[in-house]
Amino acid sequence: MQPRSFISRTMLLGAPVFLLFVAVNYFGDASLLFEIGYEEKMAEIILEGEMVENFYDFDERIFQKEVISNLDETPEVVVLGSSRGMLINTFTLDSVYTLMNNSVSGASVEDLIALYQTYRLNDHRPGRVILSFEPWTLNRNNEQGRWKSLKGEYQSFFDPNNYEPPGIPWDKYAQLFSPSYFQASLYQLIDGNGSRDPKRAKDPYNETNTKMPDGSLVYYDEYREAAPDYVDQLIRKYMEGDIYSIENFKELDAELRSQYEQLVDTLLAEEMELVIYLEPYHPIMLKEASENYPIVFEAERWLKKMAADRSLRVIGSFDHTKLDFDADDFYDAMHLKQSAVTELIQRNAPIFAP
Amino acid sequence: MLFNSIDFALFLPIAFVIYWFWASKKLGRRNLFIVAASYLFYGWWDWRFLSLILFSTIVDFWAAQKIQSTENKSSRKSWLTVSLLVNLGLLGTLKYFNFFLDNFVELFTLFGQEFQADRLDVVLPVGISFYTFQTLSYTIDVYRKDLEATKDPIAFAAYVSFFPQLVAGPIERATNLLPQFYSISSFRYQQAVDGLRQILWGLFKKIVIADNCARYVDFAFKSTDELYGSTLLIGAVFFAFQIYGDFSGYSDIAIGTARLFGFKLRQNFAFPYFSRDIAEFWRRWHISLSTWFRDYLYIPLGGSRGNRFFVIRNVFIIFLVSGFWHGANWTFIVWGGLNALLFIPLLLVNRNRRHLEVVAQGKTAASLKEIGQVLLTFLLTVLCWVFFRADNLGHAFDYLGGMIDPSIIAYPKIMDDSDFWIVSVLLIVFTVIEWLGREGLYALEKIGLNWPKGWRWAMYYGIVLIILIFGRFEQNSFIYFQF
Repeated sequence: MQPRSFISRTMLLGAPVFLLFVAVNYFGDASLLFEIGYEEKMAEIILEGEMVENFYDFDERIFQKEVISNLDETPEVVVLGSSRGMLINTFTLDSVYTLMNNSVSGASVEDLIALYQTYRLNDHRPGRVILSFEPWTLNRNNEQGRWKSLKGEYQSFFDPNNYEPPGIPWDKYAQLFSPSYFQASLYQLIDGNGSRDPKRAKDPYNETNTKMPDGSLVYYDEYREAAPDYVDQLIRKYMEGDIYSIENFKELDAELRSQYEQLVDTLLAEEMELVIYLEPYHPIMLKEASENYPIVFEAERWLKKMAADRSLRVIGSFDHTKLDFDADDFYDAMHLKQSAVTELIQRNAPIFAP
Repeated sequence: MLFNSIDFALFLPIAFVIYWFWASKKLGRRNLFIVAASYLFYGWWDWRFLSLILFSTIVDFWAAQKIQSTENKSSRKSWLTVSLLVNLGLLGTLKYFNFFLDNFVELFTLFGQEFQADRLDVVLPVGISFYTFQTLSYTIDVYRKDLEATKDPIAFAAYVSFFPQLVAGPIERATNLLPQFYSISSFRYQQAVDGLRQILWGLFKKIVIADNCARYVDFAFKSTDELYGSTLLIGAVFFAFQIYGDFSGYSDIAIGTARLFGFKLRQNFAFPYFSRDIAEFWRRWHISLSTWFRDYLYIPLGGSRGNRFFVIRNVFIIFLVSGFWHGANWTFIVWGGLNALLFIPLLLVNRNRRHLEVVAQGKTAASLKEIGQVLLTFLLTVLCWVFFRADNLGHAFDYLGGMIDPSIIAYPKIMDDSDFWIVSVLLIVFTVIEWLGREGLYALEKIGLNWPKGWRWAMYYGIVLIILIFGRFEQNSFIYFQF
């Protein structure tokens, strides 16, 4: 029998598996990649001044772009950070200002730039910015590629005449052929959460995470109410694998430093009042970082020197001992509880000039 | 590129189509295509690696020509020495320089002296231990006149770089593989189907068995001080499955891939965990390496001829060198030494060649005695594997100390993990299939061949679905790549 027959037979017999594979990825769609308008739906609810719950994997960057692009009024304070900044809300600033929290999970320098640029492209100048700095901010190998959803905005920060609208999201379509995505999507089909459509929440404390009208986040009940022992267990399990975004952190990347400085200098040049925010690690995670990833503290030292050179306010540290926090103040390895976030901000109040 | 990657999943069918529809029409073209495809495959990791393999190829091709061209023993030996020095020199420098330097420095420190030296900051090329031994076997065989030196540099380059077995074996002998580059074999449907079947089984071993066990192994070896002996024992047993699934899985994919292109590679694993003693284990584990050491080191040293001391010395040398081949760490040397200690008593009482056929050959079940022998041999290899996996000797001893402890009967907390039970069931299913297929070259070789087509295809679909549903796809590299 000829190779041609071998190939056609193999393809014929492999086709059912292949089709099943693609179908599960598409219809299971674990991360809602193929759901159209999801982020728009969420943004609509937020902009109507309501809370939204029951949201699952969505493109946070597209969501933030939708929110910023459709703001009726410019908020007085904008928070640009990662999930570690998501709990900063209107009340942490004593409701003195209108606030919009545009933080995105795993925010990289590129994200911060792209998000601020989105404000500029929509002619919004907030006046006050709380800008986060993360342990992974200066790690070239942080594996944070999600900023590419706002690649056009990011590029146009450096070259205003060069805004490239988003092209075909090939990365997204590649997931149709991803075995990892197949497993997650199969699980979703078999054991999923029912409808994953975002819905208006009646109050902030729910079985799923809740996004507030000011863009901040309230974690779901089980997460917020976890016992400290359970949290410890989760942290130890988390530390068995790679540590979030700080693996292969070999040096404070020169280009990322330059870009962060450029962002800071642009904010200052545009007369923004700027505060830089650092959240600490949980004690167990701090010990791990001190022993095996000391470079994150070098990054913090760099950041504080950069800020001092510009007379900028810095709130917080990666080291919880400097902030008098302990294990009870954490939800997990790297997220402070709401009460601790509020305390941290208010200890430094007023963080903006009256 | 890794066998269990999308890159390879795209590379293989494209290479297959080009090979059979175009390249294989002419011999020279075919070999050149194999070299190009193999260099692309290898260079995918790091293009800089190509210079080294090209250099080795040129040196050994030329050295073999020189050996072949003279009958003068001294000249022949000199050219062989050139080949040995270049190949082993490169391997030794890149792989072992830092090890010797660190130990040298420590020795000085022991005597109260300070000694400073710069470590070599290089990336060890993937597969260097494998292709170095493969090219050395060529020049040695030419020297011994077991083989004529090839005049075809492209065929030789194809032999050295043949992508299915380039980075993790089997280490092919020139007498077996090189002649296959002198002629084109026509496409054989059954051979290709068999190749696909072996690839499927190799992927199952790697993605389902090895990579699922890896998680628990990493946990056990990372948190050694905090775990019960029972958990550490499970970790060690899972490592035995991990390394077998990983390495023999790679070999299956390599052999199966070669068959797709009409090439026949040697069996590298013959169900070693069904061995009844350590001697049998070493006839079934990494066969291409152990036979390499037998033919090119053990026999030249004198083998089993001579007095007892002589024989013990030779066996120790082989196992220690074999351990050292695996890595620049005392743990590998101790692992080799332990295996030597287990092997030598059998050799001395002439019981090292008792079990030459597969256990319970022709039968469905083994006898109680055979089961006992297999379990004991498995346990001994598990204990030795602890050294292989540990970061250093202290870690290995801590691990064993923690394992052989009253807490070995304590309830292992690892069992609270629901995935642990799924992995355990998969291991049992895997062991049963390996048992049923133990008389073939690989487990799936003969299973189902006599079944109705529908049932046979249901089995294949079932294996594919198990890989997709239970496999781990986080791009875990193969363990033996680091060697």
